[in-house]
Amino acid sequence: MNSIHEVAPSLSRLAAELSGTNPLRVPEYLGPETVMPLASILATILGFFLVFWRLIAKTVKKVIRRARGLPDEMPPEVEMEEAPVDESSKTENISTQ
Amino acid sequence: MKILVLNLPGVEPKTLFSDERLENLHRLMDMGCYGELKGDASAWNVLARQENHTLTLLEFLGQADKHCASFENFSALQSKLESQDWDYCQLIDAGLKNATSRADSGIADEYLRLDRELGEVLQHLSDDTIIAAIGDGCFVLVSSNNPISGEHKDGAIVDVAPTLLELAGYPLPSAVEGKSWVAGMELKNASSGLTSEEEEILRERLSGLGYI
Amino acid sequence: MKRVIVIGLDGFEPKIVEGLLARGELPNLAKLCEQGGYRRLKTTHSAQTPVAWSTFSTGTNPGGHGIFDFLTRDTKTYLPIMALSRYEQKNAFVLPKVVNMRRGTPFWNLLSARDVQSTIIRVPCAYPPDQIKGRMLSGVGVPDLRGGFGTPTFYSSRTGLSSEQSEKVLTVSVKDGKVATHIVGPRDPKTKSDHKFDINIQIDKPGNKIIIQSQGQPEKLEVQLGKWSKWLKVKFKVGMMQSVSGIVRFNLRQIEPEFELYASPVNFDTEEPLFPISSPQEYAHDLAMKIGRYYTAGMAEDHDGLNNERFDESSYLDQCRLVLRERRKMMEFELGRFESGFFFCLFDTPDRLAHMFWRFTEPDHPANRGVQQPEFAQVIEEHYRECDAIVGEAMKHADEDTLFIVLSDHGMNSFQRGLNLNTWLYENGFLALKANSQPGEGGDFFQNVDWNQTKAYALGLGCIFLNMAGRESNGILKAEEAEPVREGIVSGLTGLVDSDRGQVAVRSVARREQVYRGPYLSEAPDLLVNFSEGYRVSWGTPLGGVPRGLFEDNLKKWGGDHVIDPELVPGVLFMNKAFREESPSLVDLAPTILNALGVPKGAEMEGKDLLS
Repeated sequence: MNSIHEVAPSLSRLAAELSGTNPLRVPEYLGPETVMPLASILATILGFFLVFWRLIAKTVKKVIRRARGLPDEMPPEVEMEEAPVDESSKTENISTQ
Repeated sequence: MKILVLNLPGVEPKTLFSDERLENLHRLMDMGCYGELKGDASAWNVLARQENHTLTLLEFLGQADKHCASFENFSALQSKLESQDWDYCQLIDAGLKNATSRADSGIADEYLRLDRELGEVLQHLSDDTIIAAIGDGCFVLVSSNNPISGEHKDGAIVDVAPTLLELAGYPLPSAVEGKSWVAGMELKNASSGLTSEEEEILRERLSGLGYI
Repeated sequence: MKRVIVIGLDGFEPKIVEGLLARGELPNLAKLCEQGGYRRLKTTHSAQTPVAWSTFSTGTNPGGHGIFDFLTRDTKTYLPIMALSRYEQKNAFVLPKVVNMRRGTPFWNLLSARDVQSTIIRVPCAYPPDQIKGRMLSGVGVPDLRGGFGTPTFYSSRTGLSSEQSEKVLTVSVKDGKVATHIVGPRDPKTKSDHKFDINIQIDKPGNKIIIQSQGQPEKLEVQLGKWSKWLKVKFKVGMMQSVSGIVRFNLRQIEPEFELYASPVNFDTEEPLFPISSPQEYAHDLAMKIGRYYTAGMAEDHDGLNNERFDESSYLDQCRLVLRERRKMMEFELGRFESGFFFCLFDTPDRLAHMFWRFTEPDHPANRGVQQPEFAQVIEEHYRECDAIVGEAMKHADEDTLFIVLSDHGMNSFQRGLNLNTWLYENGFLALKANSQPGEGGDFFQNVDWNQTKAYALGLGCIFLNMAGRESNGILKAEEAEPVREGIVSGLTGLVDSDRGQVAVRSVARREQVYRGPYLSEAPDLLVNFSEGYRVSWGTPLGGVPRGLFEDNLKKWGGDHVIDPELVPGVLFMNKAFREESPSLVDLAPTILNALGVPKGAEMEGKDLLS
């Protein structure tokens, strides 16, 4: 099972991107006007992931699946043929020695 | 019956009841009862309060010569549970509360960690254990003889301790602040033997072979 | 050798094979025979799929792997229980785990230890699957979502319809061309009722079909009259935010005057199976993503539906063909990427089909009830020819460096008369009923049996257990009292004559020490009944019933069987390399395959390398 960490980039980095600040340059003063929107952004992102983590996990699985060369959609299952196939009338290629 | 209480400050009802990943907690909710709690979260283990003294569950059972222990992390709790030699254990895991106060990004992970550690602890219990998980204003309670199932509304935090005592078959102290939710109710006991309906199911399952 | 390819054809019967070979109608098997050889293959005691394939897997007699029958009994309650796997739950708070009761060491574990890859498709008694290098898909042993061997559902607007064996019947009503009903899911232990998945059926009478609408996948499923539909993926909410998925398939039987619809057992969904059915875990779903959805249940063929007359022989044939083609697709896909190591694929359909169509080869079979249906007399032989074609397809992947094997676990024979074993034990003083009880009054599960006076009891497909003190919870026989009881049963049953027919029903009775040895001998039935051709235990016996009378006609469509004296139902063995052994046995396959791949055989393996 993919953990949130594998799936999502660092939340703080995301938050920083969204709020337009570079995480490496931390302002000397972190007042309420900075922290409040930050906290609410974090909460929103967190909420987003909590709700959609399964969808995200599925998407990641799909990507991995494609990388392994497997198809996206399930192919149709074996179902009833319209006309019965008479297997015994087929000439089978028998492997030669 | 043994009593295990897990105090998980910081756990909120909204997340506890809706986060799909908390498999172990949700399985316990299915098995027992759960709900929100009124009152001060820190009073989770309070039986009675007098002017200068608060009687806790731990103290009360200790006085009754029961084998009691208190822990602050899951691994220490686990070692005790493995020994099977206990009557009452309580765990206060402040991990989530600390994560919340730091407002860091690991809150969701903390919930997951709690659920995972709970899962490991569950392996070491016997069927006759009463489990109570108490967060901030929410609880999950499982006991094989608990007649209440599903959501239990209007509970107060001080009700938890007397309810646990009554389920476990202990006498309550004379002065109790809360009230037991199962007061006056008939406590279930585990049934044995096959009912005719269960026989029908068994027959149905076994005869799908064709040979029989 | 670099490669070993084994194709299993469950229940392939030598007499039929030899007849067809002689007429030149199995060209590929004939070629195999020419390249290497063909012999009849000795099967196990008893001659049953799980027992025989477990012996194939481990190279030991059943005493070495612990599978003696599909069923065994719980010594505490005397109840028949599934012998192939057990669900263990450490305590009430954790999820149950499934444990494979086939013990011993399958030879592919030895291959994995030497880094030899295996691809194993549907070998019986590998549930949960063995963890191997390569991939494995579990077969017989995997339950349906209701936890049994397969419980289909029959929907009917007819009133007063009761459930037959191993099925659920739901009475529905048609209102304005619509039917509101549900798929029956697992049982909820809390409420003691079944989980449901709602479906709404829209009837299209002129189009001779229905549309099933639901929250499943697809949301609208078309089911045409008389045809097997595609799969419907369903979901049951089994708790708060906990759900389990399954897949179901339908066959619409009738729209008017009555509405009748058959639903297959709910199979595990490959994406999130309730319990593991493949190794590695995602293999089952990866396979579905390649070949489409497939039957995951161990018993894929819908014999219950036919036995209970919910559909007819043609529909059963259609369904068997579906399963066969599905399995063939699996085989072809995997052989396509098989490079080296061990490859195994089992086709169960020949066995199931022969069980259900045997009666058409015997005009006087009681199950025919005087009605002849010659159009079905050739079905088994036709199917054998189809299997030969499949073998041909597989043979294309056999080169110089490949050992190619085709085998069956046992043969097939007639089942015309059943013996009520418990009733015989009762009439001969070995089994006692409660005061004022008579045979025929109680149902299954030894309901009216008085254990305090019972010395022996029968369940399963020919097993007799002694009621031993210290072993059974209500055992009465002391160790020294056991032998006289055994002797009494052996001498009484051996040569038992079915007076109505003037035929010998029981050829012999074996003591377990005579046929088994090994670590699990103590779990074996004390005595095994070896029936003659045409006979086996009655329908009322396996689950502990005590019906009235000794012998009865078999009137069910399951008219062929093979749980008789193993000497009468050997399997077949074809190999592309010559072998000298005149009477090979199932235990010989493991050493032969291991040796071919350069891996030494396990110390407990009892057979020999057929190629040395």
